[in-house]
Amino acid sequence: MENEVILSVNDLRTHFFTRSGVVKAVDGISFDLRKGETLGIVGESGSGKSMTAWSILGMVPKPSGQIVSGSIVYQGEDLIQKSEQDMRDIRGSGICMVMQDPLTSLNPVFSVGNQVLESLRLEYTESKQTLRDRAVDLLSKVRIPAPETRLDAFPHQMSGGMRQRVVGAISIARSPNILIADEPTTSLDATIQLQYLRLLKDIQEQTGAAIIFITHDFGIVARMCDRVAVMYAGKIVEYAEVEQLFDNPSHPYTEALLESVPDLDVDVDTLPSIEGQPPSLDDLPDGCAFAPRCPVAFEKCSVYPGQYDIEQGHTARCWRHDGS
Amino acid sequence: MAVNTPSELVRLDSIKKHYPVTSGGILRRMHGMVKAVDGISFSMNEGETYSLVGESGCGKTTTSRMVLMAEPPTDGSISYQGNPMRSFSSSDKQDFRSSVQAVFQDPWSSLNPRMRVDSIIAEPIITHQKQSTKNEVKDRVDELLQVVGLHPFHAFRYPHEFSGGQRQRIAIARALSTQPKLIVLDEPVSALDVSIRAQILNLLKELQETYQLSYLLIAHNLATVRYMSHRVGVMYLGKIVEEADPVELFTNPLHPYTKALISASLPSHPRQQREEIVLTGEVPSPIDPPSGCTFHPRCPFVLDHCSTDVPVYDTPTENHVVSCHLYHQS
Repeated sequence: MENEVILSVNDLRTHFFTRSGVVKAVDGISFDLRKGETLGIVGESGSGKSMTAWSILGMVPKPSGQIVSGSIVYQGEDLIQKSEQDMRDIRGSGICMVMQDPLTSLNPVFSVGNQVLESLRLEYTESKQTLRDRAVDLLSKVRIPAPETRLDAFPHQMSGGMRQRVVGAISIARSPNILIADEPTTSLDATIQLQYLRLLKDIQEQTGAAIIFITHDFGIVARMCDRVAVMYAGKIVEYAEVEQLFDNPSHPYTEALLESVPDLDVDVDTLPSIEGQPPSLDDLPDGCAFAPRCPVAFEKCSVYPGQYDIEQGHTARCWRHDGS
Repeated sequence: MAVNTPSELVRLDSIKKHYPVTSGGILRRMHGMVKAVDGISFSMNEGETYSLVGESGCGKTTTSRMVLMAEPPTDGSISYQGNPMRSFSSSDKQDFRSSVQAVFQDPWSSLNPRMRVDSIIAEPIITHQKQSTKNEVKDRVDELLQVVGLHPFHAFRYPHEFSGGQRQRIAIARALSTQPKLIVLDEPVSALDVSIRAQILNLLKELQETYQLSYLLIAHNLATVRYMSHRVGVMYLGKIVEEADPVELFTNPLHPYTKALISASLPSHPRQQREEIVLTGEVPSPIDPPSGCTFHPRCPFVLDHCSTDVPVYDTPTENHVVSCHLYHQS
């Protein structure tokens, strides 16, 4: 079934209890991830997008960070209730993080084969030779030429693109159903980034895994994602299919953000920009968190807006869509 | 290849920067040269932005360091307002250093965390304009803070009290403090939040207009480059392979490398399809660059003589310079 939901996040709240107060990093978000699809979570730093990923993986920094409510249902079970031991097993075999930076995510003192086999050994108890065959198979899946000889190479002997592929191979070693790609804020070269995006698509086609792509770049969303959740100050402010979002952005934040990104194919004299700064999470306004920066804010915005349907599969949290 | 115009501010003439690769302690042996910049020429006009684009390691930052006089070129000459830097007297050097400034990528590391904002901004004024009184400096700091969209009361705070966008504004205020003619912008917005980037880009454009500033912009985001620039140079392995005005360059790219760079940039709409040019292989080592055209091992349109003959600069259309055998009419 194509539309089967494999991960369902309901009213997730991840808060940090610090000396200066409660930081609501993730504050009541809900979304579904379907089999084989790519969901983009877009937001600025501090919007809660990475903490959403960490919550799903059960890696919220303790003790200051806690999931205070909500559920994350994967294969019929709530991940929040799982023990640390169970979560260790789910990470990797069920839900897996793909690192983007190949230079720092491989261990320089172990051979590539060693590092691929490390994750295979967790999944299979087979003879050395069978495991090695599996590793060769994995490397050829990510299109590394001459995988048999490459297994004994060390990371420094490989080019950046090859290392990226090895990292890809490690993340799919235990055939996970969900891949989470958290993009670091400093950007890679465009050509390297494109290679990485292609690799992810390739992996997705071969394994049928669903991908959650965490990014701040609408270009990546446009190229990679089927559906998008736009986050602002710990909440999902707009949720839509990718074409719906680009054709008909319905939250003022999404709208302003899309307009403020320079376009390679269009000449403009002055870019429309969003004034002000993203809010501090330990001191959020009562109503809509975007209201202080919003060009169309009105009195109602001092109360937190509900979620309104824009069209089929497209919702936005903005009072402008309140029909009443 | 650059045309002499009346308002030319900086001109680079076949600039090279080679770094020796050595080993050993006492008996140093040389293994080769990293040709970080290998014979580039371009000129920058007053009040305009010249942008350098290319992948990391192509020599963009090295070029900017030479323009800032932070590093001497191995060969070639850079002239500022018609005078070669090589023949600067020490007072010329001092004048030059106050008329060029830089804004860097990461405002978290480019501002000293133990200095207050007023001393960060005042430091260049105190260094370069020694005769200024305390009150003059203070007034200037207040004025600069307002120019970049901050408030005079911000002067008494420390960098950690500001967000990324505000910090970059402080860095810009510091760069403006000596009333420079040229500012090197090394990835000025790529470390900032998306919603802040347009603010900073617009601020830089406004300042350019008000003060007739020239910018040397280094950026990898081509859309940003198109928005900001008057002239763009595409660098590959220490050489400029194509140079044109942004509209011309991005609508009619000629060099296969430029085409590949454009095809690798992300779409602005999910229905937008770019022709994807896949580059094979990796950027070769600048210690031992390929023969002939340095791009030939990765070029999808490679010709027989590309591996032997070094391409020359051609001007297929006005103001559009390219170094590629595909466009060379002999």
